[in-house]
Amino acid sequence: MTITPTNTQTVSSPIRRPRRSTIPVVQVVPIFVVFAAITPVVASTSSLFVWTTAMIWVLFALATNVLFGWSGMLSFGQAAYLGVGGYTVALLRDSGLPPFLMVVCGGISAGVFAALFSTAALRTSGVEFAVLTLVFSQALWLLTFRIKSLRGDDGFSGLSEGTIFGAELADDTNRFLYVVAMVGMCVYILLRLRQSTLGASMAAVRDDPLRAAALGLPVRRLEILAFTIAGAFTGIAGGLLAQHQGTISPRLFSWLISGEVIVACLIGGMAYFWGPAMGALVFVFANDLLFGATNSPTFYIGLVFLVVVIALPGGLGSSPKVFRGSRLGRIALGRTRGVRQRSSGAQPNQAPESQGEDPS
Amino acid sequence: MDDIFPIIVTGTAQGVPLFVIASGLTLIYGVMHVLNFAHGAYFMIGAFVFAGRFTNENLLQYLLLIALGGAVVAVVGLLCEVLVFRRLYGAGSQVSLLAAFALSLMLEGGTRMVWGGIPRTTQYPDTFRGATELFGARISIYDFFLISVGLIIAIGLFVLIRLTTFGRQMRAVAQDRTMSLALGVRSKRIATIVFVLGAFLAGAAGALTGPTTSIDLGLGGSYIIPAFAVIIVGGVGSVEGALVASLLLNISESALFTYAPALSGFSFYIIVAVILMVRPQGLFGGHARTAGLAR
Repeated sequence: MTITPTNTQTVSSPIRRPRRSTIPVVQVVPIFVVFAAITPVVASTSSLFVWTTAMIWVLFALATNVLFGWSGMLSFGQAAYLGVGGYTVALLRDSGLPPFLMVVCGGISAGVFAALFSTAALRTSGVEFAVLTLVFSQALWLLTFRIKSLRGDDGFSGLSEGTIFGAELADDTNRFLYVVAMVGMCVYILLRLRQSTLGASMAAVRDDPLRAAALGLPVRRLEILAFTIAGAFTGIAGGLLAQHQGTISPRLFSWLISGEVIVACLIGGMAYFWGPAMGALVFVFANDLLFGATNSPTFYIGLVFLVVVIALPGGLGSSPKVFRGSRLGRIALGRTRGVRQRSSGAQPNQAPESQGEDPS
Repeated sequence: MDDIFPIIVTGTAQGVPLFVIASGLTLIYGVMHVLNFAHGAYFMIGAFVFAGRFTNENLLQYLLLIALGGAVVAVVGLLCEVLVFRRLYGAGSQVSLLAAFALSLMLEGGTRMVWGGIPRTTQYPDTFRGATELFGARISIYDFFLISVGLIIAIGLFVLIRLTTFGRQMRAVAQDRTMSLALGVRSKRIATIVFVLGAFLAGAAGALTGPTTSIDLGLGGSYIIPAFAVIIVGGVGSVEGALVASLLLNISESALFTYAPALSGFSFYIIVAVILMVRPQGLFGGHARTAGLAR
């Protein structure tokens, strides 16, 4: 293990097994329907609130993974688009639009912001680009204080009002169902995108931008598109978050949120479509549990993440693979000699290592 | 144009802590490709150690406390490196980024446990209190102190990196870890030393900044982001770049603050954005990235 090349971009196994088909699209719908039907019955009111938050974070993390996992771009400023979506909904509060149209508007405006920003900033790439995203989100955060109509620290409140098909959004159960429906639709679209040729070209750009360009893929345009898609869906998540919480403040733009969503993606595993969703669930519930239980929650949250990172560098999504490779797993599966290497993060066929952050 | 001189002095003095943090960050990134998010927490711990003990008795106590802040944080850094980062070198920089983020959460929580969440302020030491008249402008004496400390650290780092065997080995590891291992450089040990050095610098910078600011749990965040900007603008891995970038950014920020107060708060970000648009690889960065060629 001592001689490990730090440059991992080149190691990508020459022969890939054809991708095992992911969960067929059709199955997503029933999963969400069953989930939406059961949870309000089982969960108490307060945990229903957390579940709603968790669903929104699932969308936020999946949208962020369009950058990290699909196309290998880095961003430390995704909170910017969460904020743009949230503030769009807040500004449309009195417009009389139906709530879901407000959220869609939030997504569109966040998408426009993302497209403009990435068009200007994609002269840079890698970590430099990531710092520009951070700079942009900080600038937007400051703007909420400078522009009078955005009200600075006071923020907006009363955003949970409105009705959908006659159902009051202020009611916890109604809001949960509404959020699940919206998130479900967005996830469906994202999944279709991932399985489309567009998703495949993004993966090509992630694995090797030079080769992708040589094959005739418009690398820059694909990256702008990826950033816009991520921004738009993050904006939808932001709008939903605003309606769910009922209030928003500039905290939505905070770099901590940008960091937290990366944590959620990494915990789940960026190489897998559903990884970030798992990570987001773990993140939101861990936060909720620990905030109630201790007076210094950040310490324990950090500890939990650290343990996950060290034990499963590929994220929770890689746990079956790690299990199969471990001694315990081999005994359990009745193999005396493992076919795969004992898994650590340095496996060549694991996507997170072959992504764009390579600092060469 | 009378304001030019104080602008330069204030900007430089404000740039010193930033330079000290950023030089540690950039060294760590250069040698082991870890973007150490926890560096802001190191800085904060340094400031808390300083504020917890400082009673303003004499100059010696003050200087010792700065060293103590650095030393405590160096131990924290050593623990982080040995227990966490060392295990993750093979796993790619995204994983170590997550570990660094987790560590920064832990350190922030730990700081809250040890020192509580109440903001603290400390006084300037007696020797450095007040201001002096120079070229018709009032300049605070502490600014001069900061600048001289920054100068000493900059020269020290330059000597260490350019003129010593250790520095040569360090540059070798940064350039090509595998090759330097093959040539007999003990890259693991180099990595540990660089990490501890970077942590020490961050802690000392925290202690140095102590008297000028309110010390609270948000301190780490408010310094780590500009420090990231500095290392990117300067060119990742280059200490000279960090020096030039931190001075350039802070002087132009204090100039913009004087001449265009409407932009205050934004000026730092505007300058960063402009520099990166013009020169994506940073001021002292090497060649453009391969990914850039694809466009």
